[in-house]
Amino acid sequence: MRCSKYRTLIYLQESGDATPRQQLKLERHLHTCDGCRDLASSLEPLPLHEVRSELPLENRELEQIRRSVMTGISPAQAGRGSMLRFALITASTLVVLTGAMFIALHQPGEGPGVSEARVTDAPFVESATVSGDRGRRESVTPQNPAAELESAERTDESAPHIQVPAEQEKEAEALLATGAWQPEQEAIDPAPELETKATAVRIELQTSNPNVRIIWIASGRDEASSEPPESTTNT
Amino acid sequence: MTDIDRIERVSGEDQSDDPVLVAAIREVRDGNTDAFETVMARSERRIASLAWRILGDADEVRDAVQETFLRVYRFIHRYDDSRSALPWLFRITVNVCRDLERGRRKRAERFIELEQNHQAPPENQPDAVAHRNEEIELLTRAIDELPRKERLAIILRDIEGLPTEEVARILGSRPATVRVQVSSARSKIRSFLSDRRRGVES
Repeated sequence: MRCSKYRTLIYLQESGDATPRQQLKLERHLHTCDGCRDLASSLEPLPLHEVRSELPLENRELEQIRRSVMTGISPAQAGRGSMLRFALITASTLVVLTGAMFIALHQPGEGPGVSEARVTDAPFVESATVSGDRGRRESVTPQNPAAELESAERTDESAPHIQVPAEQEKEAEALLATGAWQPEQEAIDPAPELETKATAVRIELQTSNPNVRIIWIASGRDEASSEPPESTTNT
Repeated sequence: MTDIDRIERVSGEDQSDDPVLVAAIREVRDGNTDAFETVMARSERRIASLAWRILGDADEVRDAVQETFLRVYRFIHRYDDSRSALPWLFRITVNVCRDLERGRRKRAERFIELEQNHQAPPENQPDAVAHRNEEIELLTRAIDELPRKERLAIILRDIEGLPTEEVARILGSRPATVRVQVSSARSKIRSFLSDRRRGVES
């Protein structure tokens, strides 16, 4: 057997894996070979176990560490952490939802379902609908052409195709010029039982199908209104 | 009476494999958080000692012990019942120390400090005790001078007394590599000690 094989045995013995027979062989060889003996002696464990007794921490410091770890892992602490996580998740969800609703309400609808909807706050029920290039305007207050005119003037510039019929416009101007109609006095005569000003809102939704229009009339703040909200679908 | 109490009564304090520690780990894993105090009490000195050997800084050792136990608790479900508990704890300790050591090189400072604070043993100390203390200090300094990998290997192999395979598992290397590292470390320590003794004699 060559020295290289005995060196393998030396390492096996060092790790405690050598069989008794291998140990005996190695012992015999070490009596005769200086090189292998040097290697074997260099691999003998050092008396280092005493070094382990050195410790930089005192008992009270170790106790302190134990206490702080136990505090860190206690279920109450974990519960507090999960509550905080829950609150954070809820708050962030609310922020995201609010943002999404804000964007949805302030963006002109360009989806396939609804082209555009606009709500006006005329003194009485007043609405105008613009749908694509088929601009049209509806009024449910034919008794008050001046209000219509005023409303038309207030209409957003983004709807240039809204037009008030020329006859109605002239009629309103004439009424204003003669003083037969005074806008300040044109307050709605509310129903006797109403305490607040009636503010009705009419919303028209023009769908992608030009033949389908959804009209929704809500009574607004008028809780005492006797008229129920109307919902109509014109086809 | 819990499993821990039963085992403690039967086995006593000094157990090489420490079944109390293993039982406490099992209890924590089963949901008994209070048993973690036993886990810490049974292993803190060994963990602190290992961290001290690796880091050489008392403040860092404190952080290392705390972080080690927090990690042990976090990953306690990964503990393999079929293996000894201490090597598993040592593995976590070594990883924590590696993290702490990263970017910090305080060993040199500590070595200088030791050199400055080195004092001759008191005269009234018996010769045998004085000699023993001197030997331990020399060994400590010899270990501190080793390259990092060799230092870790010799600490786990010769100081903590773990088998080579276990050391290899902890360090994430092969047993053959650990053998070479341990062997190299031993010969360096021997030559360090003989140099010092020769210097003292001359």
